[in-house]
Amino acid sequence: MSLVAALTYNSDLLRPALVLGVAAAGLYGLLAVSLVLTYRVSRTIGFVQGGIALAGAYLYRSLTIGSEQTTTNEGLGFVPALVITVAAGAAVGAVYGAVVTGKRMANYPRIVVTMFSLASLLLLAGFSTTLIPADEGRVPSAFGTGVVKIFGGVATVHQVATVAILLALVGLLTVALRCTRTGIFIRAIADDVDASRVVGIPLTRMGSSVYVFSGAIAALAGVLLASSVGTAMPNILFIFLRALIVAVLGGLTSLPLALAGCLLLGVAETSLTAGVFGLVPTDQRELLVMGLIFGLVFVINRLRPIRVLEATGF
Amino acid sequence: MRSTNRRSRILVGLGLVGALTLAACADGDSTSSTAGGPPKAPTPEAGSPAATDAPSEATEGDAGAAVPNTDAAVSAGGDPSASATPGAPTAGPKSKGGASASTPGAASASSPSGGSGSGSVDSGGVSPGPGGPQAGAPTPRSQTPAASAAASAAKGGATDVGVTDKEIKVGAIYMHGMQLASFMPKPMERLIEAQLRVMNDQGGIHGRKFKYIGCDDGVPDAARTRACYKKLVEQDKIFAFLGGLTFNSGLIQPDIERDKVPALAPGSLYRSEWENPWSFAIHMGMEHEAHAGGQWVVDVLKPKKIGLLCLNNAEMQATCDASTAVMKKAGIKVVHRVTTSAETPDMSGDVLAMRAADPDHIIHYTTHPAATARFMLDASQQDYWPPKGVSGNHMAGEFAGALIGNYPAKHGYWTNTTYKLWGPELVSWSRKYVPDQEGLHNHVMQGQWWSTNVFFDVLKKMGPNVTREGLKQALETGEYTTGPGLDQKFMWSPKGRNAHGTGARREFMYKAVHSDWAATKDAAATPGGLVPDPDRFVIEDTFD
Repeated sequence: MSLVAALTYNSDLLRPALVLGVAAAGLYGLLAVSLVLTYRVSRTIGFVQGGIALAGAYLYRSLTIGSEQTTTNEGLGFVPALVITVAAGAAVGAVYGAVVTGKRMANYPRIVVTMFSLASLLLLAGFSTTLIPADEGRVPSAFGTGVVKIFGGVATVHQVATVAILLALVGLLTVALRCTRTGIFIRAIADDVDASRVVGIPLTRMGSSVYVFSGAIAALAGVLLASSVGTAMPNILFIFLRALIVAVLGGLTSLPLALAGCLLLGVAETSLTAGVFGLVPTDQRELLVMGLIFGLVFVINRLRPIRVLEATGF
Repeated sequence: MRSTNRRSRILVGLGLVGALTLAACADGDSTSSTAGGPPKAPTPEAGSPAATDAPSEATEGDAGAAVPNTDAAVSAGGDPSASATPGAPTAGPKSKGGASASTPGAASASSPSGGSGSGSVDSGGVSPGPGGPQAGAPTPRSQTPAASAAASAAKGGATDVGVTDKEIKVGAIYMHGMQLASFMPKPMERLIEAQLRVMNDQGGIHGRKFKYIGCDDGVPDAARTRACYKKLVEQDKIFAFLGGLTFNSGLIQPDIERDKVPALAPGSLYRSEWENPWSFAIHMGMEHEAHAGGQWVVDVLKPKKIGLLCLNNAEMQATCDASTAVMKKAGIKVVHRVTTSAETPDMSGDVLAMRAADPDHIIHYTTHPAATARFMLDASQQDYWPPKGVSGNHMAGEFAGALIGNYPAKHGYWTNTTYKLWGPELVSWSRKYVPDQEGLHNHVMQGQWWSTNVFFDVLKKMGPNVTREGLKQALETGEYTTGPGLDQKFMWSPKGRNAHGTGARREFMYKAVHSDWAATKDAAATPGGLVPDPDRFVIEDTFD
């Protein structure tokens, strides 16, 4: 119904807004993926991923550009900086995973682990802003400054690459979760921890591996965000919170639905901002977008409950 | 089970306390910025006092979110007997050689040799730079030196709050947690601290040295701003505010007026800072900027329709309304108005909307360079720019050109600013005493540097009997000029605060020609990438 209204109201803007909206989805997607992965294995919200993304952005900027505060402005190339940053993210994920899947904390109530994850985000935020010498601002994209014109909309090559990476990752992970032994183990742990332990699934190793991988993805998200939006902490944490919201669309367990949530959020937000449905005030835009997302959460759960989603590995 | 629950509760509590403590310390730690400066700072030149190495007491940030991250007093200057001796090393800034600010004349910011039209020291003061009452202006109401000395002696030197026979306490609130903090509040605070250190190295004023206390209100956070105010005024008992930059300065104006605390050189972002008799603003008010800038657009660019880019706070919305009023009177239509926040990560939708609305020209009033830059970067990525370009305020910073790149300069960009850029007196002074400031000067900093010199001059003229009321009266008397380098003047009397021909209504319009806005290395210290607008350089609000 609203699509028909858009076509009749301001159809000239619809196609470019769709293009820009899909491009904007890339901002949230990778963080949503890491949130879903950590939730599946731990049943806790991985706030730490936001901290890893922020630290990753700072580190990447520091390695590539440096800051006014360093004595030299000569940085590393994009690829070495990317490798170091992603490795650092994986390392932080490994440490975090070792702690929360360790003998003691593995038995803690989930709310406790969630709060610990939130504290870890704050710790990483403090660490990044205090100890990593990086100024704010965008890092030149490793993909160059080119733009792509599609259906009247203009997206940068960086945005297109981000979306491509996101789609590839979601595709790979979906297949892996459904078809590989590791994926089945992860699904089993998410379904029933005690039963998984009984049948001999190495819980600590699997859990830690997921945290390592999620940390790497979050750091990669930070690298890409450093070129998209810069390294300002409020911006990156704002994007993380948005990623959390879209991950909820799939009950924090479904990667494809999280991806769908990103696309929906990006398109809805851009369309409302661009005036596809007329001029909507800023505060009402937020209300509409969030209302749409949470309405869909309700509908999806009614049509296809989360347990079913998990059981099918979808 | 019970012991597990108890352990988990303890763990959660410790984790939260630790995390919140670190978070409170994370937003631009004042200790490192005010005293130690940024890490890995270049070693200062021999003979120049480093703003970066002054010792400070450790900061104890509180765990509560409402408690500001405060710096203990940075007491620069050390042992008075040591600092009074020219060339003697002081306990404050580490300097190689020691022949630094204590050397007579070293602190003078008179124009570098060869500079044309730059930096005549207008006040005749010994202080580090121009400022003070214009020659011929009415003498500030003050006691005779003898009477002043007697009055001070009668009180044991403690002539007012924050004043003793040995020191004068000043403070400021800076939002070290804002975006682009390393380009704005940090170097601004560093500069004022350096000025105070240099003055202390010269022995202070009438035997009193300055003690500076900074406070960080974060992003800013309104609760922290109020807490900072409370701390500085009620706990630290400062004599006056000197400098500061926070988007919440409007919140504390009623408190400043109620408590009668002089606030010199504030960020001057709010109309209330101009209206408050205890606040001495050094930057044109937003509404006047909207009128002056708007009239320039009407007269010079002659668009038929414009777009507006406005920040989502009351002051900037009012500023955009003022701009709309100018356009309406001229018969120019405002076809689209974007309201944005500094945290918006992506403005491509707004760019698309602006493109659809098709204005001839866009004016921005966002106060925060990050918000303006984001729009410009997203616009340039989409290869969109209105045919008659973009103009607006609060982008006059040496760093800002590199932030937005060359696209705006190529397609038409102008920015209005209160002072001529960048002021050879300021640049030469900061190159000598604060080498870390290279490339970090901005328009508010210009005013704060000059106003600090005014403060010094006024205190000297007041004599030992330093009082808040006396300072206010002195500042309300006469006209204060910056000299030809910055080319501005201010009057802070009740009638003078809105006077034509002063910084309340008069500004300068610069055109961007390329993205390097840093001061040139020569004596003129002009920005290479910003030139005076050839059509109308001096703009003035004559709208109301």
